[in-house]
Amino acid sequence: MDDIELIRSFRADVPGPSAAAVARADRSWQRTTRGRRRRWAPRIAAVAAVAAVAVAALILPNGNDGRLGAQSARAAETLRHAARELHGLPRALQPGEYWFVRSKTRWTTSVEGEGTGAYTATGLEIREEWTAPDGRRRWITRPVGSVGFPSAQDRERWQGDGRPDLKVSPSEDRTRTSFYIGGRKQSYGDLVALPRDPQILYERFRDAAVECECGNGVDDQTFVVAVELLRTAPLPAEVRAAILRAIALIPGISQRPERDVTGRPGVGIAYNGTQGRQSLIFDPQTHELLGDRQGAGGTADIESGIVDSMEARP
Amino acid sequence: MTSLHAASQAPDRSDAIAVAASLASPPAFAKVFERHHAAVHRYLARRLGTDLADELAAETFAVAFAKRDRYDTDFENARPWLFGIATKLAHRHWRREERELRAYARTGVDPAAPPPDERGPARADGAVAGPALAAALAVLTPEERDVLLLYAWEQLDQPEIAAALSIPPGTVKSRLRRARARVCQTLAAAGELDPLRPENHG
Repeated sequence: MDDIELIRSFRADVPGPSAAAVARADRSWQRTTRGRRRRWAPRIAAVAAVAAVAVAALILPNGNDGRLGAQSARAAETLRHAARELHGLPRALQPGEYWFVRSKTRWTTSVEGEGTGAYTATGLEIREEWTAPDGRRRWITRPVGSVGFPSAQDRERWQGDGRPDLKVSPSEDRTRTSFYIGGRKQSYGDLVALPRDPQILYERFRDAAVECECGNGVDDQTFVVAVELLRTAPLPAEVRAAILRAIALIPGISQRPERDVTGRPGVGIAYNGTQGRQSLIFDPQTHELLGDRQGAGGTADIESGIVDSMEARP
Repeated sequence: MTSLHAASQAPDRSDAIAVAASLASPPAFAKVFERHHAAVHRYLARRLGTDLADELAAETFAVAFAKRDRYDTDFENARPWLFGIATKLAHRHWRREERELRAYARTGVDPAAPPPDERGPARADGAVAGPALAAALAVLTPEERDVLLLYAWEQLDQPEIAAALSIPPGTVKSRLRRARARVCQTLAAAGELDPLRPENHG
């Protein structure tokens, strides 16, 4: 035996974690859902999402393909209209330029109460974010208003838990992140050069969704991949328009009236049937993109523009 | 290096994909947890005992999840990243680790082992080699121990260890060489290792 083999035999028979310890650890990362998110507010919990899919599968009646088809057609029409009316970044960013976005974000977090069971809390914060074409980001957040609860039961459980202070502190951070299509890293140059043909772009998103094997099916995940790119990368209007037209090709999208997280009325476009769903929200008159929602959470855009430093505002 | 690290595998990008996907869809991170929690727990339990491993393994994934937007998806496999986080968390407890290693070396009873009623069959490291190994690991600096255990137990290669611990590759190389030399010395003195096997000192 050499030294490495001997060391490998040392404490080689440690027992594995108990089922309870694994479950605790699994809950532990899921509870950190208020971590360093980018633009999306967190999903409430994996379990809730999975349960919602199961329910949706049960309640969607058979034989309504015609109605769903009409729904998709209306949603696609809204997206194509929005693509023609796009505001925001008119051209690709140059080195030394930054895309600034001020938004209101509604966060939700799931808290494991002592003896009362889990409950959800929610609140609003103002978020200012600067993004450079090389992926550097800076953001500042500060809370607005007080923490609330989506339901009376959540509030009761919080009270039973001894009313812990769930206040969010202002935060500031810098990081450097890549841009992604699904799990594939992209440079800003790659993104600016994306095909403008909606069908080709749709297939790119779909390939990324297939590769991921995640989410609630390929169409749902294609929607997630496309929306994430749209909402996190400072893309010129032409590319954003192509992304909206590609989303219009995803089977199973639908629309319904939906308010953004600040209460502005809008048209919500989402993938069908997923409760706690992700949606893009457009102004019903101008078709301007107002923001996105993800279950109870989400982001409403307030102001954006090109600036020349990570401190400057338009 | 030793032949332990010779096997090369086809790139499996599923960790990189799951981490990137979890940015948009946090439940996707469950895959990373399912795939690696047991191994991270085992590593921590071997260093610090099961109870502390329960806590630190959970913290490892909570930290990883919170920092997932900084995960470099050039790493196809999340192991170096996760073991880096776990090692940095374990590092805070190095005094306890050394105390327990010394106690094991002195008494032959491993304080980090579970109580006898929870223990399976006799320990694989055996009554003789166990205390000698504990003594050998106890004399290392905490930094040397980090590198050596990631190398020997988790079979991370030197560039992976460098990335995991955010230290230069040259530092990994020198720490590993020093650590192995000191372990060999201690083990040879205890009669557990034939000192005349130079090929062991890669």
